[in-house]
Amino acid sequence: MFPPFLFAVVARALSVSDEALVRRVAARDPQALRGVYDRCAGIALAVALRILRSRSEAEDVVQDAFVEIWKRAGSFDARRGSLNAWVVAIVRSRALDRVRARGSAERAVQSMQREDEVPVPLPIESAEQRQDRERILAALATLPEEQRRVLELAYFEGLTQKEIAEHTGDPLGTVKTRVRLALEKLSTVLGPTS
Amino acid sequence: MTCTEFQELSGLMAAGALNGAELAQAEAHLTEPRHEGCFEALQRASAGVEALARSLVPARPDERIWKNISARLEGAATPRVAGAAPIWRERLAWSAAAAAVLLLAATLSVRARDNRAWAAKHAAAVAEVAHGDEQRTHLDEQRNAAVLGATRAEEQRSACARELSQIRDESEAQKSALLLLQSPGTQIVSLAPPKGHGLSARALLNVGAKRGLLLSTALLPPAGRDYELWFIRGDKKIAAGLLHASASGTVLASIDPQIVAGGRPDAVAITLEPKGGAPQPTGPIVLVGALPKS
Repeated sequence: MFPPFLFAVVARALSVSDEALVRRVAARDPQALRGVYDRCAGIALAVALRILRSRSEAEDVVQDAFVEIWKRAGSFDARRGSLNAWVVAIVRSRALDRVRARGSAERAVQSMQREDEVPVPLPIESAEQRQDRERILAALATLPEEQRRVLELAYFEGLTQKEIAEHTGDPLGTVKTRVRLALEKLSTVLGPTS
Repeated sequence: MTCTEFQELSGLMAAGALNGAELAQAEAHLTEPRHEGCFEALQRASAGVEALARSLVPARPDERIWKNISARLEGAATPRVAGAAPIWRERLAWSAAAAAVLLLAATLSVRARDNRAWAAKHAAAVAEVAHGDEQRTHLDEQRNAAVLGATRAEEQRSACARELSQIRDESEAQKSALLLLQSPGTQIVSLAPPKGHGLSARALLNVGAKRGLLLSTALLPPAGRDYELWFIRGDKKIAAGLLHASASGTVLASIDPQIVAGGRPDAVAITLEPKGGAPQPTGPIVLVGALPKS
C-alpha cells in the first residue's frame, strides 16, 4: 500500500483526472480520497472558515464533508463542474447548515464577530496557486460592486435569490440578471483554464 | 422546464441561490435525456462560482483532520478491493453499505430521541445547581471575562502578526509595521464590514508616537473607485488618505502622522469613493472599527 503522501505526489505527477480519482473513491480506495483531500482541502477549509468564522467548526465541517464525499463519490458528475467545485459545494452546504442551526442569539453574536477573532489561516499555496488566485482576484475586481455583492450573498451567506432581493431592495429580476452577468463575465475573463 | 429556462437559472443554481422547489425543478430537468447546452451552461456557471472559493487564501488543514476522517472511514467503509473487483462483489459491498446506512439511520434516530431526553434532564439538573450557586457564578463570570479580555487582546496581537507575515514584497513597510506592533501604546483596531461579511482590515495606531498603519490582506481593488480611510472623532469625519490595494488584495499604508497626532479617534472607517477620493465620505462604508473605550 502507498503511504498517503506518496499517493498524493504520484497522483499529481501523473495528473490523475478528477473523474478517475473519484471513481477510485467510489470503489472504496482511501488513498484516492486522500488524493481528493490533498487537492481540495485547503480551499474547502478556507470556504468553511469564511462562512462559519470559527476554526473548530470549520474543521468539523471539512471532516463531515469528506466522509460524505466518501459515501457519495458515485454521484459526482463531471458534466456539472470540476471535482474542486463539487467538494467545495458540499463543504459550503454543510457550513451553511451549521449557521442555520445556530440559535438566534448565537447567530447575532457571530454576525457581530470581528474577523480578528477568527484565527488567520496559514497560507499554503504554491507560487502557481498564488498566481491563479491573483488572476481570479483581478477578474473579481472587474465586476461591478453590485454584481460581486449578489454573488457573495448567495455563495457565502447562503441567501436565495428572493432573500437577496429582500436584503438589497432590488427587484428579483435584477438579482437574476446580476448573478448571470457576473458569472458570464468571470467565465469569460478566467477562460477555459478555470 | 425548458432548456432555455434551465440555462437562465444555471447561474443561480451554481451559486446556491435557488430555493428548494426551484432546485428540485432544475434537478428534475437535468435528468431528462436530451439537452441543448444545459450541462455546458451549468459547468460554466460552476467554474465562475468556484472562482469565488479559489479567490480565498487556502487554509492549511491540520493533519488531525485527515486522521479523524480516516478513523471515521475505518468505521464506515468496506476495505479497498485492489484492481477490478468482480461485479457481484461490488454489488454485495453496495448492498451491505446500503443496509449499514439504513441501520445507522435507524440507530441515530433512536439515539437522537434518547439524547434529547437526556439533554432535557441534564439541563434541568444544571439549572437547579446554577440557581443555588448564582452568586458564586457571578464572581466566576467576572473573573472569566477579565481572563477572556486579556486572551482576546493577545489573540488580536498574534493574529495581526500572522497577517503581517503574509504580506510579501513589502519588506520595509513590513519591518516598520512590526516595530509599530511591538511599540508600547500601540492600539489595534479591527475593521469589519458593517453587515458582517466579506473584507477585513486592521489599523495600528500609536497616538503618542504619531504613527499609524492600515493593513489588510483581503481588500479587493475596486473597479473605477478608490478606498478612502476616515478617522471619526465625534461628529467629525477626517479624511486620512486613499488606500491602494494590490491585485491580491493586500494593503499596507502609512497614515498621515498629523492625523494620528490629532488625537485618539472614536472609530476608523473605510468607504468606497470616486477616483481620487472625496473631502467628506459619499460612498458606502466598506469596513468600520471602533476603538475600545479607554
